[in-house]
Amino acid sequence: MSKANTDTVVVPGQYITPTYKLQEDSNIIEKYISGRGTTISQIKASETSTITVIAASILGKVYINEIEVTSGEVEDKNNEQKQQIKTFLVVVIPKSSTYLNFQKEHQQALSNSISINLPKENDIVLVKVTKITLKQVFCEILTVENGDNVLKDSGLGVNGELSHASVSPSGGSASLSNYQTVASSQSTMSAAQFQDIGENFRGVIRSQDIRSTERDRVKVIESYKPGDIVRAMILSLGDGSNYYLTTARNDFGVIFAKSVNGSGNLMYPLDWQNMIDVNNGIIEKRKCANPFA
Amino acid sequence: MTTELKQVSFPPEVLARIVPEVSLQRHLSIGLRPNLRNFLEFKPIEIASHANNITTTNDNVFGSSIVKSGNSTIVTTVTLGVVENTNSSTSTFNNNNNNNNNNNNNLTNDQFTSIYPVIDIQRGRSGAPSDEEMILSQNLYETILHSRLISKAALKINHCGLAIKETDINSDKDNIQIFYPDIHPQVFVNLPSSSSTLKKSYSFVIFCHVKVFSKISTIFDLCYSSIIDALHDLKLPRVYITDFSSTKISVKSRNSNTRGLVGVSKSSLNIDLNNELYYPLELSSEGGISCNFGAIKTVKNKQEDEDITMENEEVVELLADLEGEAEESTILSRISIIVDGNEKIKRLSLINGDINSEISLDILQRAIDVAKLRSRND
Amino acid sequence: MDRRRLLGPLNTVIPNIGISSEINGSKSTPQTGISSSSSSNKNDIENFFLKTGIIENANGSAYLEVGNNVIEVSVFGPRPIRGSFIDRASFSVECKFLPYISQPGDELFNTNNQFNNSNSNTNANGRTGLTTIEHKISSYVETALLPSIILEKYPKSTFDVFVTIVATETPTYNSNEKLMRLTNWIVNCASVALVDANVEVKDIVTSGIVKSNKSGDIIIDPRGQIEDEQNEQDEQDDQNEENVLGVASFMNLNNDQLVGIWVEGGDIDQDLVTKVINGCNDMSKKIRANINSFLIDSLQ
Repeated sequence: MSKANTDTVVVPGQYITPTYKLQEDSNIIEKYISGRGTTISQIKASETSTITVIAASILGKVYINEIEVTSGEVEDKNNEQKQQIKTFLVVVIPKSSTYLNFQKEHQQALSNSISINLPKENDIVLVKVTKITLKQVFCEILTVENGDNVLKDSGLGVNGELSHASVSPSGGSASLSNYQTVASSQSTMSAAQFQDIGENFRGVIRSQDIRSTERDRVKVIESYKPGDIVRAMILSLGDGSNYYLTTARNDFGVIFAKSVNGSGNLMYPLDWQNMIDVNNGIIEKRKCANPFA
Repeated sequence: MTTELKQVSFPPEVLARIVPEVSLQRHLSIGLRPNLRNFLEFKPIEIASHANNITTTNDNVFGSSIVKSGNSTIVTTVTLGVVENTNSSTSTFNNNNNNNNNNNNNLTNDQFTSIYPVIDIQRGRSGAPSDEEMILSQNLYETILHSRLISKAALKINHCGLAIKETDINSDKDNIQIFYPDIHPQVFVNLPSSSSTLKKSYSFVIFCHVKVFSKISTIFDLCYSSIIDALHDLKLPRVYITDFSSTKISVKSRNSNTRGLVGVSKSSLNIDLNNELYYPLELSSEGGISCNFGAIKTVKNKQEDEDITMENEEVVELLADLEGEAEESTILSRISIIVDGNEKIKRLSLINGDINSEISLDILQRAIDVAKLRSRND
Repeated sequence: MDRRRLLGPLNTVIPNIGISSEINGSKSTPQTGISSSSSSNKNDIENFFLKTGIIENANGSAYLEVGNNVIEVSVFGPRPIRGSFIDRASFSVECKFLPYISQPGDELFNTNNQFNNSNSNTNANGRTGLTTIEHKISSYVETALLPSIILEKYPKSTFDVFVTIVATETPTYNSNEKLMRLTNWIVNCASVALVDANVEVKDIVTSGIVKSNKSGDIIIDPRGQIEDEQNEQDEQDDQNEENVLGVASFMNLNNDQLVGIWVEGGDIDQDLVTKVINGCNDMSKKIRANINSFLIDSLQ
């Protein structure tokens, strides 16, 4: 049983539904949970009373789906009245994102967990490995799957037309900080540093998060090398600079890699831990992602 | 396994970001570019020089141009400065004036000047200009200087006017009138010939401000055509001198008997806003059209029409007017050509950035041919 | 000396913009500033043109034309910030006029780069940083938009809003009014740009502008010249200085929460402020309705 009023377009601020609703002619309580693209706001109904409603926070189409809730969560509010509670998740799918357009074009099923702009926990991301150490892999987050490229502007050409071949888009020149001329920034303390154009969010894959089996025997060097494009999932927000990522799943791991530390050709996976460069037969070790989902 | 496996796929924008070279090669192998243009197809450019009202609504702007290509928009505005000529250069001007502009061959580079462009690319940052903006500005400055587009003589202010303040005794109101030696010669008869103010000679300095919105490709070409268009649109005003504070010399004015006063000691320069006296800037040539090319090695899957299956053939392809992440980041062998209306090459820059895709003479020749063809069509 | 920009030879002088030598005196300025709609009911809101998504390398953008004002807003973000962990987003607004534009009120603030300021011999293209006027607009816009953004949803990131003023109205009327009118429309345009960038917001912020004359009448969306003409008919004294101007911004669907207010002018008492706020609220609601239908249309 799912309710999906897919045609309703909402603008930010527009009320979608109250958080609780009594179904007509029955004792069933409908509970609505605010999902992505929505927010909860208190609306004054009269001078004294307010209603809690779920309002849209982005422009898009409303999807309301019933979800199964473990009974434990339901009890705490309504265990005295033995009423049946149905729970619905309210999400607003944005008007467009790279993946949405792609899925529409190819008539694929629209994925439910459309990501809005920022990598969040449990989002699947595509990262580029920038540095490896014995214990962890450093990388930058290029794209959020089912969302967009993280940066609209890749920073190409900021240091000159061809400089990106020798210098990374963000590095090289003096800081391009936009900090000094900004009018003010009431919302943050001034300790934060802004980054340069083309500088991505960063992530870390710790060696124990590389694969799910034999975690203690993982060798980072046999799993990832700088320049590899890796599909991973976000574990947590991490610290000030890095997200924490994991590739401990069959469909996570290297998706694109070049042989001989990036100077060779594109390699193809042989099995889950070997890749081959078909032009010269070099076989290198990688933790490969299963390319079939 | 009989169940159909769904392969993980990436939208084109994502593929271009994560593995640009793969994205580019996959497109090229089917004969298209990532921006869906043909190999030698240019992106259309719209130029709206006279459709904008920047010049008419801003008194300090004397030429402007808006160039659009796709979503990229370039707004160029020309403002003016004035610089005093040193004596040595004044004499060369006088010689130049006698010369006909056509025999440019006799002129040396130092008889030409350039514009002073400041490029401002909207990329979500502020502060000092980025390397990109500085390189582009310098590049445009040098290109225009060496293409001998603007002669110093064309920027010389030939007849500097004088503002004369008359005080009407009856109403006690000041009335300012401006006189020019060529239009009102009779006014200047009374002036002492030694007047230092009028002896000084001035030239205009052209400042260009180029604002770039929605930068998605290399933009030298767009900036160049925008500046050239703004220069064609540029109308130079008359300039006059005022100084009412230390007025010493009295001049008899043309249409009244009151005595006007002319400032000489410390003068300030002013621009006359009289539209009718504006005159267009004389350009030594048309300016031409700038094109850029890239060379990239591709692997062609030969069609099996012929008897033997020649599997792969490596060809270096020439692409015109690079655009988009995949092309911009992968193609490192570049050619930039400016060709003017007479099919003369005004600028040629060549970077062999990629050992595998070297620009051969043949490719260079093709690029030049295309650039010439384009300059003819436009 | 600025070594990063090409600003011409060192001894370059920027000439003053003088007068015209035409016989009839001053340069005939084209009569601008009155749009076609202004002849209708005076409490109508001027027509405006709005477009989104024109800037490809920004996360969101909006372009607005109203009267002769042309405003472009780009939203960049969420972009990463580094340093210590910050659990919510940072938000900044930078508002800039293109360098050749004369900024409303610059004769009061004495901005250094202005051509009509006789002691400035600098090339406007070399201006660094913001002028007082740009600061004023930037901080109003930032104050008004900040409460609407759900910052908690964007840890470790920043949103930067860049406003470019491409054209302004010719200064035929009170510069304060021009400045506040511009600010009013920048807020509306920036809100739409935020929506276009898919930034999660509590509500769309819209704002309105009103003018109150000596007798306490509220005029919604004043458009300079019309009112000035009326003033001249009434009496010719310095009534302009007695007028009270107010800009106020609201989140209409969030209990009409007031998120920004800017009042300038003569005698201001509580009654008048209430009137001004109510007037602005009316106007903001009309604009909001327009923006809503624009956004919904853009999706279908």
